Order: sequence, then structure tokens, then C-alpha cells
Amino acid sequence: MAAILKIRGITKTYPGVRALQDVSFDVEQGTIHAIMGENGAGKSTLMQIIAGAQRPDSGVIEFGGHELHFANPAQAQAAGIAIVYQELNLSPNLSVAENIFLGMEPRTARAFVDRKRLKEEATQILRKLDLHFDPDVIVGHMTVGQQQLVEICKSLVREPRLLIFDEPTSSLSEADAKILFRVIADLKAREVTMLYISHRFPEVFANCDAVSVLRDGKHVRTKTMETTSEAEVVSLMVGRELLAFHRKDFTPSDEVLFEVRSLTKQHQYYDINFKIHRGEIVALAGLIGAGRSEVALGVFGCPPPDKGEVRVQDQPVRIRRARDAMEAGIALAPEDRKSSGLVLGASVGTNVSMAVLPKLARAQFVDQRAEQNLVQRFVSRLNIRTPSHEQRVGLLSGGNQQKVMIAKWLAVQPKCLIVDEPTRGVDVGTKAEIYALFDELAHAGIPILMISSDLPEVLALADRILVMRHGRITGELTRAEATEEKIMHLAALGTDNVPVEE
Amino acid sequence: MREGGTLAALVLMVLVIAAAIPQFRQLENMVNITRNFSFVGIVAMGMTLVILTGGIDLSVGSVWGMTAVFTAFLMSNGWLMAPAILVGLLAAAVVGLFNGLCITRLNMSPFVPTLASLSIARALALIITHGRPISKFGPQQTAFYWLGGGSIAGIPNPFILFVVMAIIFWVVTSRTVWGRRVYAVGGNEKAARLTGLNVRELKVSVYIISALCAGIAGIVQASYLSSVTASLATGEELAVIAATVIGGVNLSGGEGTIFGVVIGTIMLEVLRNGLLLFGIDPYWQGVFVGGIIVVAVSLDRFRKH
Repeated sequence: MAAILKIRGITKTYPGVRALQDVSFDVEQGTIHAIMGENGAGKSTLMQIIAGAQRPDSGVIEFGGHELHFANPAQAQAAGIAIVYQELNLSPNLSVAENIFLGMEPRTARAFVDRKRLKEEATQILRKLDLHFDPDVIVGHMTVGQQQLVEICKSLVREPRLLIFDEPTSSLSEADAKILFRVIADLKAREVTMLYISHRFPEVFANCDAVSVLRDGKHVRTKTMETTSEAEVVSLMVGRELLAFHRKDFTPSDEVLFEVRSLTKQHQYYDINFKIHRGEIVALAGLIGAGRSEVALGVFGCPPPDKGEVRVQDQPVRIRRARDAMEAGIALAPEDRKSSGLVLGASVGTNVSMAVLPKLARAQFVDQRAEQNLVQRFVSRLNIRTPSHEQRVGLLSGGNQQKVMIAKWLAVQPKCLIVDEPTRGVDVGTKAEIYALFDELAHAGIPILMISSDLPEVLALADRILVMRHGRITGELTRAEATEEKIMHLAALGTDNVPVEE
Repeated sequence: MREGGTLAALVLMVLVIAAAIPQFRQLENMVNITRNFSFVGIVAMGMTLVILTGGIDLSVGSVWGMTAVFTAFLMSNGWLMAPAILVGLLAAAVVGLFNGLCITRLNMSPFVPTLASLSIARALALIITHGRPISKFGPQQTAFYWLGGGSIAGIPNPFILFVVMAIIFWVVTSRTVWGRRVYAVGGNEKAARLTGLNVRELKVSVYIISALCAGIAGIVQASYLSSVTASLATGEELAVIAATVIGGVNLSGGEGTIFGVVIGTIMLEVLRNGLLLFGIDPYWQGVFVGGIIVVAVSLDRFRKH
């Protein structure tokens, strides 16, 4: 096999940051080539350069024997390079078929869109990938996972020879991810070369042929999968051996600090019951769409459940909106830090102090010194890497953004902490720091409810694991009895067969 | 400081005009300029809050005129100044409340109810005056004239009012919990809601404040002009929005400062005055104002990237 893509000495500098430094490696034709590295290692920048969305300061990229000099992504597409971005680039108000052919709609003789052919051809592409979507469905009504698959269909229209995936599974459920992997295998059989950026080791090792590791903008090594191991890749990424995370030995007490009784909201979740004892971390596992985040938001009053009871330190609390939950001592670090957790355009300091601001005020006036001190305390406690407190949060790496969001909620000194996907899109090093923090908080007597789709994370952190499926809790596993297979079984198949009414 | 560029541009502009045209430097002209930008500036204070939350208030020009007409009408019918002003401002607040409720309760895009209010408030002013100017202000006419026409230690009252309001708004936006929340709501409304902020209440309050600012400007300007017509301040909402945008307030919310808006307001009037003194046909003013909007915003973008 020959190298279809040759990356030679690529360097790219942004003001103050060297994103890529003399990166060189080859990608063999018809392979799935993983690009791994911590957040900020330069993976996305490199992909953008290949796809024509950025230009390198120096270096060349050869594709199929030609040097690439793209001025824009359209030229890259014309040359057979397509990229499936992490952020979806779909028009939510258009249908599946319209999205797939956006900008390339089949036309009738009189330059109108040929709706019949549009639908037929979309159906063909969907069928080729064995996807069972109605091409007329409006994309905005689909799940994120389905949208991701539509995005892939869209990139296939141009019949690319090189397809780049940027964290394709970060928002997919296991079931949707399986479909994606099937599609990828199918494309590989048709000689499409793929670059695959992911943080998830199991899927990389299950699906890819080779891996290139980037660290701090430099290419560390490229290896074929047969000649490497997860442990080696991790150590290449971080430049040090990863210590597997272990909770401190500790037996939770019987004292119930947080309890939810028969929480129900029609069409979202039904009869949710659980308790969290002093010292415990309880995980809520399940597939995307199982209703886990909805339960968390329900506890937080956004929107409140139809019925059920929430008890904090054995006292019932009435929660109609977020403010009630906060007054009761509940903190929720929500799932999507960009859209609902942080004000990206505001400073680190503003975000950290946002939830606790009224307590830092005298007669409505913010005590700026108290605020500075508080921010300083949390920036150093959580080891948030930022040039200053005035830095816009949007300019920080994903891991540091996540830390800012957790700091925001620790600042209110919660009696109960709910974290939803606390390490999504977060690098390995920061993950370990976040785990240690949760462990410490649990010890300090803050009950933690953790929603996570990252099963190794759930197994490493949780004392007990509740599994949800179709809006109901289908099982509970202790740390001792839990395995990835058991969790997946409960999440995908469940134990009760009562379907949720639509 | 992020307003450094705008401030430097303003200083440069003033120096150039002052050097070229001696008339510009005269005290009388300076007093005129300060009075002229004060009306737009007062309204821009409220507009800034609205835009910081990610909204827009198109009704300010009409509310400005409506409040002036209401107050003038009541005074011309023998009312005392204080109750007449109070009722005028109350009417303005009702328009603001209407805007805020449509936006927060009926989930309308801010453009829609404030556009409706633009039409309604102007019509109310016409209904009351029947198109005739009001130039008699009843028993307290002299006191009323002093409000906008008088001065303290040689400084025109509207300018003093503008400065006082700007200081209050600056302190409120930069130092209080409420002010910080205005920025949070505009920066990310969903995050603000999940941080326990009462987003609806806050939005309603900024529209009421915006309408009140427009009302205050209307009353003070009525006093200064000592006559009111129903067409007072027609189209001024555009000048107000222009001043805000030139001052660096991001129309998508969450970004901008009162200090910047003050500079933007002054710049707009200095430009207008300078063009007049240079003898440029006033019909050309709009071209320059438009140009400066585009230049100011693109410089702001450039600074950020």
C-alpha cells in the first residue's frame, strides 16, 4: 500500500500559541488512521489545514501525489477531502434530503430543485449506509446522533477519497456509535481513507489501522495498531505513564444526604427513586436519550417534574425553578458547558463567581475584593490554567472550561452536586484531576450524582450505578458487581418491557 | 481598556475639527453640542441595557415623543409639573412593560413588540395633539422651561442630567449584582437560567428602564424646545442605536460598556456638528454616520481577532 497523504513539516502559529510545530507523517491509502492527543495538542488545527479551512505557516501536504494549496474548504472538497466537524453544520429547518444535498441539489431543466430526484438520491445514500431515516424529516427534530449520521451522508455526496472525523462519537449513544462504526467499515471497504480524531481508546483500537499521536503541537509517533497498546498511546500522549484512577478506600455511612422519591415527568422520566449517602458518588448511566439529563434538570427545576419529591439532608425541598434548587443547596453542572454551562464571552472570574454573586454583595454592590479572592481560591484549588482571571473562558481549552464550570458550582458550597458528563471533550490529565476532586468532595461529605456515558469513568468513580433506559431506572449495581457489560445490558435491553408512550 | 480606540478616535476628531474651524472651539458651540448629544445619550443608556441582554428596543423614538406630548398636554390643561411628568413617565413605563411582557411571556423576538410600540406610541401622541403643537404649559410653565432650557454654573441642564445618569448606569452595570446579571443573560441566556437567574423579570425590567429613559429625554427636550409636536424625535431610535453600536456594544448581547456608549454618543454629535461647520450639505450626514458605524464595528472586530 502507498501513502495517499503525506504531511511534511507543517507549522502553524497563532498569536501566543504554537499550535503545530514541524509535523510530518504519512497516511496509507484505504486505512482508518487515528489522530490522538490531549486537548490542545493540535489535532483539530491539523485537520483544518488538511481540509483547507486554515493555511499552514510552513510545510506541505501531499494528497494522491499532488501538493495541496487550498484557499478554502470548497477547493478541498473538490479535491476529494471532506471533514465531518465536531459541531454540526446542518440547517435545522431543512429536511434530511435537503441537508445532504445542500449546495448540490439536483436541478430540473428550469433550474428549480428537482424534489423527486433529491428524495430518491438521498434515499439511495441512506440505504447505502443502511440508515433508516425518512429523507423528509426535518433535521432539527432528530437526535444529535442521527444528525451526526446525516452529516456523514452529506459529506459522502461529494464522494470523498479522504474523510476526516473530528470526535464523531462525543455526542453519540452507544447504539448510534455502532451504526457509525458500521458505516466507517463500509467506507473502508470502498477504499476511502479516513482520519479519525477521538479521545476514546476502545473505539480507536477496535476500528482504526494506525494511530498518530500529537503532543503540544508536535508529532510524537505513528504506529500501527498491532504494534501498540492503549497504555503506550496514553503514555505517548501525556508523555508520562497514566495512573489508573482509584478512589480512596472509604465506606459510605448510612446517613442519607440526598434523596429523590418517585420523580416523574410525562414523556421524559417515570418513577425515579434513589438515595445518596454521605461519602457516596452515585452514577446515572444509560444511553443518550434515556432521560438522565432530564432527571438532573428536573431535580434542578428546569423544568420541574410533574410529581415526586426531592429531599436534601432528609428535609423535603420544594423546587419550582433553579433558584429554589440553589437555595436548597443543590448545584448542577450541566451537560453542555458551551451552550448551557458557561458564558463563553465573559471572563474566567465572572463565570466562577456567577452563581455565588449575591453572597459576595453588600446591598446589591459586588464586593470586588471578596470576588477576586474567591476566584483566586478556586483557580488555584482546581488548578485552572489561564493567563489571568480576565481571560475569556471561550479561549481556554475544553478541560479548563470544564474546571471553570465546576468551580462556579463549588463556589456556592453546595450540599449536593450533580455533574452531567463532567469530562466530555476533556483531556486525560484534566480528567484525572477532576476525578481526584470528586473523590475529595465525596469524602468531605458532599453527595455527588454523576451522569456519564464514559463507562470506564463510571466504573472508576461510582460507589453505586443506576442505569436508566427509556426514562426509567432499570437496575442498580454496586461498585463490586458492576462491569461494562452489565451496565450496557441494563441500558440497552433493560429488565422491564414497558415501552414509554410517545 | 477596550474603549481606548474609540476614545482616541473621538479625541482625534475633536482636535482636527477644532484646529480647522475656530467656530467649533467657541463656548457657545460647545454648549450646543453637549446639549444636543445629551438627549440621545440619555436614551442610549437604557438602550445599552436592552442590547446587553441581547434585545433591541425600536420604540424609544416614539416613546420619547409620546411622553413629551403626554406631559405637555397635561400641563397645558392646568396640571402641575410634578404630576404631569409622573403620568408621562408612567405611560412610558407601561410601553416598556408591554414590550417586556411580549418578549418574555409570548416569546416574541424583541424586534416585533418594540416595532408595534413604535407605531402605537407615535399614534397615541398624534391622537392627543391632533397634529397641533403644544406650546403652553400652564401655571408652572417657567419652572418647566428651566428643566431643559436652564443651566447650572453655565452647564446646560440636559448635559448635567446625562452625566448623572451615565454615572449611575456605569456604577449599576459594572458594580452591582443586577448589572452583572444583565451581562450574563446577554452572554448566555440558558446558562443564566441554569444559574438561578430570573431571566424574564430581568428582561422586563430593562425594557421598562429603556422606555423611562426615552420618556425622560422627551420631557427634558420638550422643556428645552418650549414646544412639542407629535412628531418629536421621529426616527431618533436609529441615532440611539447608532450611538450604542459605535460605542462598542455588541448587538448579540453580553458585551459593551456605558463608558463606550458615552463616547459613541459624543462622537455622533461631534461628527454632525463638524460636518455642518465644514459647510457640508446636511443631506450628506447620513452617509458619514453610516460610514462611522461600519468603521467602528469593524475596528472592534479587528481588535478581537
